[in-house]
Amino acid sequence: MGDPGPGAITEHLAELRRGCPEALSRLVPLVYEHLHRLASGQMRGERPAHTLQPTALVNEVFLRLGPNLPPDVRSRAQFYALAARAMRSILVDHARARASEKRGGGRALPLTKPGTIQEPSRDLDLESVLDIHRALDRIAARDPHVARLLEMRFFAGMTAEEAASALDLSVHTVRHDLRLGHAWLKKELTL
Amino acid sequence: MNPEVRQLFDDLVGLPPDQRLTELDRRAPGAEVRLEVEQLLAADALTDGMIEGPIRRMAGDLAGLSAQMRLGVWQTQSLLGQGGMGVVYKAERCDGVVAQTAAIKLLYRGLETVHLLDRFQRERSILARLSHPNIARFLDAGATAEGLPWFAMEYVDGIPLDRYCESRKLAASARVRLMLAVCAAVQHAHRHLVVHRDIKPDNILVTGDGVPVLLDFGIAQVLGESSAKVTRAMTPEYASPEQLRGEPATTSTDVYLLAAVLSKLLEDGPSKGDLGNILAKAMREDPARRYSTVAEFAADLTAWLGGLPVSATPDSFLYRTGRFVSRHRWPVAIAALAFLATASSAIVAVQQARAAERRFRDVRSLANVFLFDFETSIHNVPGTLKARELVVQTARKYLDTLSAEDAGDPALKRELADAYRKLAQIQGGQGSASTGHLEESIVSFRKSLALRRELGDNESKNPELRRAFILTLGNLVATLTQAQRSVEAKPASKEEADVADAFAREMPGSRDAARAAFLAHHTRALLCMELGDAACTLENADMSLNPVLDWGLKHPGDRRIELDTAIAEHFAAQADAIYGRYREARVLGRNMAARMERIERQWPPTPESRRLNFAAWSVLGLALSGSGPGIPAESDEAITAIRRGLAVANETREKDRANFLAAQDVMLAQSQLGGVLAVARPAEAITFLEPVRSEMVAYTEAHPADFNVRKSLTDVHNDLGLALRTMHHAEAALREHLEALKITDLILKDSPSDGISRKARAISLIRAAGAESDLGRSAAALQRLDQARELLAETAKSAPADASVGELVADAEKVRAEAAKKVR
Repeated sequence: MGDPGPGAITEHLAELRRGCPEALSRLVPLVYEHLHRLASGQMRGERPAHTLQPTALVNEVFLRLGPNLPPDVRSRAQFYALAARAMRSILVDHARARASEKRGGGRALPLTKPGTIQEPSRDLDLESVLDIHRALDRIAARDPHVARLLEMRFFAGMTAEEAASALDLSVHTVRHDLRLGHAWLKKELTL
Repeated sequence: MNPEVRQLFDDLVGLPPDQRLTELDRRAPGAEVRLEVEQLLAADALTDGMIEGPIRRMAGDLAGLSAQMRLGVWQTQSLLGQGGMGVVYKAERCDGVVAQTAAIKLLYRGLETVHLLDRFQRERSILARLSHPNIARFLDAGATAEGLPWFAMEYVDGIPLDRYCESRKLAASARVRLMLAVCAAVQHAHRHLVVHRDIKPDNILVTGDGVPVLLDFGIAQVLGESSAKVTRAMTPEYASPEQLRGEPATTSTDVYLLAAVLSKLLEDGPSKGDLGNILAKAMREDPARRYSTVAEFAADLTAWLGGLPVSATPDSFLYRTGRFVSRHRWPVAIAALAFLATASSAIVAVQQARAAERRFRDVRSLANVFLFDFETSIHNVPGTLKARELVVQTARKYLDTLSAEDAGDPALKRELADAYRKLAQIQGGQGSASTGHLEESIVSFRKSLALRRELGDNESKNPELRRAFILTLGNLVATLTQAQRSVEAKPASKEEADVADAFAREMPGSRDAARAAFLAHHTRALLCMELGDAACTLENADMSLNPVLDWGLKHPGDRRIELDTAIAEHFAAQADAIYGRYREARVLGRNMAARMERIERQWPPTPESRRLNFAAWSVLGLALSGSGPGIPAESDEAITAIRRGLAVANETREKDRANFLAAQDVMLAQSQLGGVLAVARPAEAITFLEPVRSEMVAYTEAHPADFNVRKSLTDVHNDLGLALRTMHHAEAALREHLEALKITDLILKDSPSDGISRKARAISLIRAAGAESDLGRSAAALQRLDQARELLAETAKSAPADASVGELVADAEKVRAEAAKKVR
């Protein structure tokens, strides 16, 4: 499935802003496929139909975005940026909840099946995700643009080309910014 | 980021690693900047896996867990797909009661706006009202802890229709057969007033057994409910022209979509000739020019399969029903009511008969056990259509063998007779009632009757046997009518009536005998009316009323008999009013109105009694507003009666906005009211008639296949014309009559022998001539009157018992005299 044309999405967002409730339901199937692909980590047009696992994550994105899309959402770019933001917060919430479960406090996430046994190797991932989250916050404090690109790259799975098209920047610029950003993030994580 | 750091990093990172430090030295930044750049360059060499890995695993972890949810008794297992409104999971039933797999549809999180919740609930309630072997069955519904609604459907383990056909390299005939099963599913939905609107190969899964199942009623619509705008992009490849234009969908839309899918399936092969014609007709741009029902489309496909000639403009049973309930100033839907009530009484009778049949089961016939038990047990079980067909075929062969070997054993004969009747009912049963099946059903009914005749059941002293014989005849008449073989139905219906009369004569106290006679003559009266035989209609209307009226007088307090009596009174009153016997019609109408008031005081009202109550006032209004020689119209009393009927219909509609018939009843009562007022109080009449006209025009545009309302619209146009002419707006009046003529032309083109539409056309012609005469266009007026005269002469010849034709002839002569005077 190809990327839904930017025109359609932008138009539906405009409708949504005009207070047309049907627009959201038209938007969802258009963007859903795309987001799904992003969440599954499969880039560049691979068919996502065989790897449906992360779909619930995309559902969570809509939980955060859904009817609460801010009125200033003007374009597909902003929508994807918001999707990335939402995915990040979902994963971080999940990691936090997991961590607190492990410590014996807190209650189960609504999404979590009670009694599921946590694989030990995943404990490292919990900490890593929280580390990445904090590192991104530090980067955002100094350079919001780079932080946003990183978020789109890692939490929405967007390629440099996609991010460039979404943000209306040249691919060249975005490539440079991302290379710096990657290095910066890894520096934050290793130091 | 510090611009200097950024610039340095950008410049250096492009260099081979061994040249980076040399270049950094050359640029000589400050110590702080230098440290940061060095750290960044070192980090750049690390793999991104440290970031991507944990995120992706965390996402997978989160998603993998949430695909397993507990919803009521269901445990979701995996994701099946996603649509515009929600996700679909495969789920297993986990309450330890029974193993069952379901497909559960769950609204997307974050989409629970009022609008979408409403749509989701609508899909759920539509599915819940449907039950058909070719429609995914509704199983269960509920809400998650967070309040998100879900519902469970039968899980269909199959592949999309187009892929199924391709992978099995099916022949065209096999593809058509699959589509016939889908047609049956859509027909079932239409019977429940549901239009699917999104029929496409992806929404039809074929199981391993080759049974196609229709899915996804996500954008389906209930006819008569406020039309929800399509909020989902349709597949343009399959959308109908009216959908692309954004117009409301009707049952014709589904006809188009079914044909579009079939045409896609037949893409590779040449679909010229009959099959091509069928598809072309079903996919006409103008919905009104397509097959008006799925049944007609399916009938032509069946004919094609059997190598039979296909009809270019097939005349469906529904349409025929529409035809015989359409008359001038005729509360159309009410005849349909009597017919439906009769049908349901017949069903009750059949159910009672089954109890008797059950006794035979204890005896010994394998054929009976096979049919009665097996069919009953698999009836309504989805996916068993093919199995049922197989059972029917096997049973038929077995019965034929048995009857060939029959050496005069009466007990075996009787079992065979019962078995053939049961077989016939299955063959003609809903869901598979295509033309071919109806033919088979007729053959089986005839075999059953022949066996019963050999046994002497038609003259038996045993009421049980006599009744079974009459019911079987009644079944045959109904099936012949349904198969559009009215002419053959006539002798069968005559025999049914004769046997029922003899039965009633010989067993004067028998309730069963009285009801059998009522039903037999009622069916016969309807048939005669359809065939345009006024004398036969009036005679049988009387004979239908008498037995139940007598029985009820001797045994007061029997609700069913009281309702049967009301139905018979209603039909008789209508027939009398139609054929100009207003005095008789008024007596019957008053009796019926009083009866319905009494019934509803004595027993709690039911939908049937409410509708009959409306019908009583409406038919009384009809009788009171008619005038003939020596019997003037009682307009004031007519208005009172119609208003009471209108109040009942309004109340019903208020309670149930989806009630199609109630909406039609309201329109009819309003048009009746306008008709009565047209001459005496034309201005008031116009205030009634104009909104009804708009409403009916909109309705007929949305439901082009529904001829009932279209025919009433003729009356509305004619009455508006009359009122306008009374107010000296002759030009406007003429326009209305010309509109009425357009409709009657359309109807008569299709069924030229329809006596009532001929009368309606004559009225339009006479009134148009009157308006033209007012406008000084005498020549045109006289020409129209000639046409009217010719039409009335034909009608008088074919229906000599119709007294109202004489009145119309007299009207025409009056107008002729006026017009002729102006010529001089």
